[in-house]
Amino acid sequence: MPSDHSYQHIIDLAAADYERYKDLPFAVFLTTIDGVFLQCNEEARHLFEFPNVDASPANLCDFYVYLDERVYHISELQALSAGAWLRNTTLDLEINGEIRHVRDHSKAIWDESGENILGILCIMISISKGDRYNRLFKDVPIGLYKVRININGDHELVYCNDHFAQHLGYGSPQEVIGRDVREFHPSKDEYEQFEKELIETYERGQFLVDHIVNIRDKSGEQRKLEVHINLLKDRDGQIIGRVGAERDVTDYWETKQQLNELTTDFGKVLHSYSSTLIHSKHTMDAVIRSFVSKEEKNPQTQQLDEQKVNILLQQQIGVLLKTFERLWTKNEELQYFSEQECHHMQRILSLIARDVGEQFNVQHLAIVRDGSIKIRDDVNKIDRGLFPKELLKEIRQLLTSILKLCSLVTLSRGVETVLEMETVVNNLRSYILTRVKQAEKLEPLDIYDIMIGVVKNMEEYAVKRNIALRANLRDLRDVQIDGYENDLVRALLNILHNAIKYSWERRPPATAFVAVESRVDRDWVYILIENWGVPITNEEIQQGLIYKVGYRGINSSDRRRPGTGLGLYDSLKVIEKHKGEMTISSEPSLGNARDDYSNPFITRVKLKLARTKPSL
Amino acid sequence: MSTAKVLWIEDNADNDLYHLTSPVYIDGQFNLDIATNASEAFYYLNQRGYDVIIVDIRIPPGKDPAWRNKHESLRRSNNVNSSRLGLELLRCIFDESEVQPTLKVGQNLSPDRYGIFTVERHDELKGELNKLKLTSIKYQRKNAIMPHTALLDFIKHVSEENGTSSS
Repeated sequence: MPSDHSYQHIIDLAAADYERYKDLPFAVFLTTIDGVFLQCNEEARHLFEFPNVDASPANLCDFYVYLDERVYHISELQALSAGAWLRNTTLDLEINGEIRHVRDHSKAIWDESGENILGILCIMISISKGDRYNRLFKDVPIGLYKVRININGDHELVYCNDHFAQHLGYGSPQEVIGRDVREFHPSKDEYEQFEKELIETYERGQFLVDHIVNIRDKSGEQRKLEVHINLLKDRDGQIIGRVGAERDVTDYWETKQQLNELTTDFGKVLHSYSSTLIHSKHTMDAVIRSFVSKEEKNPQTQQLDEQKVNILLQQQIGVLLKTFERLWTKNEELQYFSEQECHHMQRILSLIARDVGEQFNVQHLAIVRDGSIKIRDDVNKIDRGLFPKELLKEIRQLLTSILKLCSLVTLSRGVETVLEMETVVNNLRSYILTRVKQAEKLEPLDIYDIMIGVVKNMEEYAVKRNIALRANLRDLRDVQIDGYENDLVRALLNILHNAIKYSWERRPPATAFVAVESRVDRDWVYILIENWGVPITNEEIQQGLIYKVGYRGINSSDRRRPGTGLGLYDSLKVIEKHKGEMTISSEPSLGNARDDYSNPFITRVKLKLARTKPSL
Repeated sequence: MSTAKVLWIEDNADNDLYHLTSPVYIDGQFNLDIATNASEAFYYLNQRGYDVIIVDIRIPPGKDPAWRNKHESLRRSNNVNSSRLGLELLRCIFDESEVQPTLKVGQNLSPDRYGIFTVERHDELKGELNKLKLTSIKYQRKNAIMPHTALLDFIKHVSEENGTSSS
C-alpha cells in the first residue's frame, strides 16, 4: 500500500471504520479522493482481481466505465454530513475486460476541519450475474478458473475455485492465484501445442472441449486434466485470457487406457480363437473328404449326406445284430462268453440298435460309437481258432464300417458347431473392437450390396444346417442409405445368423427356410427376416428381455445353440444409431397355442432404415 | 445287478458334453437322469431319490418362475452368482441360515451324495462352499484334457465314497 505520509494520515483517519468492516464478506476498501487504493480486504482483491497483496498502483477511477459517475458520486458524498453513508449506489466497473455491475455503500473520510474529503471508504458487492455465479461455482465439484494475460505477457491465474487449486496440489485458491499457469505444463513444447489447439479451435468458432492436458502439480506429480476452455478477447480482438472448467481424470484415464489395452488384447485373443476355429473346421472337413464315399455324398452339394449315412448306418446295425445271432449260437456250443458277459454285450447291442429307423441324434451316435468300440474290444480278445474266422472278420468289418459312419456324422455335426461358434466369436470380436476403434463415418451405402454380402456370408452355415436361404432383394437395387458399414453388416449378420440358428430343421426331402424380403418406399427401406423354429415368448418380447446384454432366450439353448447374448442388443443399438426401427414378433406357426412349443414359431425381425435423401 | 440312480445337473449334457454320457450308458452300472437347468434339477430332487448327484455350477434358471426371478434379481444386482445357479441350488438345499426348503426326498439332503463337476476352479468356489459347510464335497474340474470317461469316473468316485457303489 502507498507509504506516503498523506496516505498514512487518511488511513489513520479511517482506521476505526476500516477495522470495523474489513471482515465483512464483501469488498471493503479505502481509497484517496483521487481513487488510489490505500487498503483493501481479501474480497476486494478478489473483486478487482488483484493478484498480490499489494494493490498499488491501482486506481479505482481506472475501473469506472463511466468516469462521470465518479464525479457525481463524490458530489453526493460532499452533500452528506460527516459520518453519514451514501448507500446503494450502483456502478459499472470494467475489470479485466469484463463489465461488472456493483452496488456500493460509501463513507467520506473528512479532514479534521470537516471541509475536505480526503478519502472514501467503500463497501462494495458485485451484483453482476458473473459474480453471483462465481459464488455458486465455489461449490461446483469441478475445477473452474480464469487466466489473464497481463502486460508482461504472463498467463496469470486470476480466479479459481477450491477444486482447481486442489487439482494443482494447493490447499486453497489464495495459494495459487497470481501464478503463471504455464509453469504447470510439463514442457514449453507441450504448452505451445495446447495453446495452438486452443487458438485453432477458437478460430473455428468452437470451444476447446474434452481436451486432455498433462500438468505437473505442486509436488511435481504428473496429472491429466480434462479441460473445457473458452478464450477471452478484448474489444480489439486481442487475446487477453481464458476461462475454463476442468476435472482430474488421471485415475479414470489410466483405467480407460488399461481397459482399452485389455479390450484390444481380448479382441486379439478372440481373433486367434477365430483362426483356431477355422483351422479346426478345415481339419474336420479334410477328414470327412478323405473318408466319405460316393454313396454317402449328396450329388448336388458333394457334401456328406447325413440322411444317406443314416440309412446306411441303420442297415449296418441290422446286419451286425443278425451276425451276432450266429455268434451267440456258436457260443452256446463253445461256452466262451459267460452268461454275464453275454448279457452285458447284448445290453450294449440293444443300446446301439435303439431307435434304429429314427434319425440319429448326436447323443445316440455317441452311444453307437462307444458301444461299437466296447464290443470290438471284447471281440478282439477272443482267442484265435475258437469261433469261425470269417464270422469274427465279418463282425469286425461291420463294426469298422459303423464306426466310420458314426465318425463322419459326428465330424459333420462338429463342423456345424465350429461354424456356429466361429460366427459367435467373430461377432463378439467385432463388437468388442468397435468400442476401441475410431468411430466410423456416416456414408452413403448401397443396401443391396450389403444385404447380398450378408446373405452370401451366411450361405455355408445355412447349408450345414440344412436351411435354405430365400432372399428377395430386388427392390433394394440402386437404393442407398446413410450408414456405418461395419456396424450395419455386423447387425445384419447377427440377425440372419439368429434366424438360421433358431430354425428347426425339417426331415428331407422338405427343407426349412429363412426368408429375407425387402421393399422400399420414398423415404424408407424395409427388410424382413423370417424363420420358423424356436419360439420367443411374449414376455421376453414385451419386457424387452431379448435386447438385454447377456440375455439368452428361455428356449435359446434348444437343440444346441451357442450364443453370447449380445447379438440382438448390439443389433438394436446399431439400428437405433441409424435412426431406424427394429421390431420382433414370434407367433405359433400352425395354430398351436402360445405355450405349445411342439410346433415351430414364426419369428419375424422387421427393420426400417431411412433412405439417403436425394441431394438438391 | 442293481443300478445306482444318478442325477447329472448340466445344461450342456445333451450338447457339448454328450460324449461324456455314453460311457455311463455303456458301463451299465448307473441309471442316469439329466437336468439341464435349476428348475428341472429342483423338480427331480423333490421327486426321486438319488445315490449320486453331480452338479454343474453354471446353469440357467429354466422355466420355473421362482428360479427365473432369483436369476433376474441376482443379475440386476450384478451378483457374480447370477450365472452360478448351481451354487444357488446348493444354497437352497444346504444353507441353514435360510428357511430350509426341505427337499421332499430326504435322501437327497445328504451332502456326501453330491459332487461338483464344473469348469470353475475349486478355489473360486471354496469360500461359498465353506459357508454352506460343504468343505468336503467331491469336486472334479471339467476341461478339455479330461478323458471321455470323466463323468463315469467321477460318478464312481462319489458312489464309492458314499457307499452306494454296487461293485
